[in-house]
Amino acid sequence: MKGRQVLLTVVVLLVLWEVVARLWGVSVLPPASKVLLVFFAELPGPLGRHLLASTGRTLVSIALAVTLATPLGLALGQSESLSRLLSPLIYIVYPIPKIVFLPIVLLFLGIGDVSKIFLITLILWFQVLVVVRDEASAIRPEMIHSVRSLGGGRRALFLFVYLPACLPAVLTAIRVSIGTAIAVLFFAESFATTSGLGYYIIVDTWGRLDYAAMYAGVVAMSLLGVVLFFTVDGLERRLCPWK
Amino acid sequence: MIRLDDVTFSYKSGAAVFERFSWQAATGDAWAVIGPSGCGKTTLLYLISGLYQPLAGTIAVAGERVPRKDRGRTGLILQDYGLLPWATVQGNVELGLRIRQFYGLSDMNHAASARVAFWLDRLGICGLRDKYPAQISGGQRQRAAIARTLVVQPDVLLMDEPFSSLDALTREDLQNVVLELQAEMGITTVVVTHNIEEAVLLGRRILVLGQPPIREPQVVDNPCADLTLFRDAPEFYNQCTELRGRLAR
Repeated sequence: MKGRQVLLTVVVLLVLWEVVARLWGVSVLPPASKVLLVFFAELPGPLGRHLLASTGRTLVSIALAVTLATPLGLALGQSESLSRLLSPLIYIVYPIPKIVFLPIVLLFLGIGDVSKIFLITLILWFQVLVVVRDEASAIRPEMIHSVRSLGGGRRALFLFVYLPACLPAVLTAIRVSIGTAIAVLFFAESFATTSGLGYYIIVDTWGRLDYAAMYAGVVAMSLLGVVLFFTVDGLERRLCPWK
Repeated sequence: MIRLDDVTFSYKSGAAVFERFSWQAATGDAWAVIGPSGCGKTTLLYLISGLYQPLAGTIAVAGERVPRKDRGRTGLILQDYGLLPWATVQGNVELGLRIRQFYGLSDMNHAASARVAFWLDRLGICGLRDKYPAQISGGQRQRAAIARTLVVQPDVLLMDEPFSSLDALTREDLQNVVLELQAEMGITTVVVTHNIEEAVLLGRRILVLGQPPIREPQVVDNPCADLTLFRDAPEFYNQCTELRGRLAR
């Protein structure tokens, strides 16, 4: 999507919001203009701090998920015996909504950053693992034969074939999982913590009935998702120009 | 140049493809290998290139036991080109050199870059250097695959049904390229094909494979392949007829 189209869509949404809020005239739906004023006023202060905390958790989780899932996905895609061994486990655990593990994760890892990062990593890890495994196993043997015939061993195959073959799928997996990851982060941050946008929206501003600030938090969380989505989209276009 | 001694090979799940099979090709020879589907033509190339290991027997290329230390010296060109979709034509042509650089065997120096430029130009794909395989035609892809193989200066060129997925005109064009390369470089070539005309055109000697397990090589000499404009000569049609009869037996 082009930048102009994005900008136009955002403007249309804001105008709609402004009109509905002004027509309705209830305190629980402040107009967009008021929310944006609060947003920019709060951004250098508490809102910015909470946004940074959530962004940090999300980025660390993405990095961890990709780093941990890619090698295993490649191994599963290359080794039939390993795939036979682990696939049933992945098949059973993959569809379970990982958010249900939240209480267990909190019990074992506490209420700090680690538990939140672990949970988001877990969600992304499965997505990345499954796509990398599928991509690696779908690589045509002819391509591997031709690289091996040029003198390529296991390490060269990894660098010149498996890694670039899986890269678009990894980026797609991250892009489609970002929404879920941020939703889980929001939920996890909404209790037993004092930092992050989930805390800012639910515990802090909603608790104080400061609706304009609460909406500013929602805008910040939406921005986090949108910016990450477009960043991954841009990375895909830059790193995978053959697509 | 290529020597197979008492080679036995079978796939995990099946009966033997080769059983105590011996065959050799001299330096500079142009061989075509023909036979029905599943007879072991491709397997033979993979054995020579070192991608498959024989269960028994030995294979040597240029006096060196297979798999060779520098596997790239045995060039292999595949039917579906084996190009990397994420690399440009130039990136694909450079691949063998990059692999050598990766293992610290050589540098991407000026001479190597000059070789890449030479083969891109020689195969008429210089203008496509920045295109991706998906953006070019099948014939152009096969030219890129040939350039990629020749850039690493192989002493043997193995081709596995290299033109079978191309249209008639492109196929003829690339057959001429192979004939020119054979004449220019004197490189030992083994072309696997299921096409009788192609076997007669590209092979000065033709190895006919029957149903496996293959024990004895059946060789058809094709000295007329050296004739200029052989494709249109009566000898070409006579040889095709003879080979067809041989395959039907």
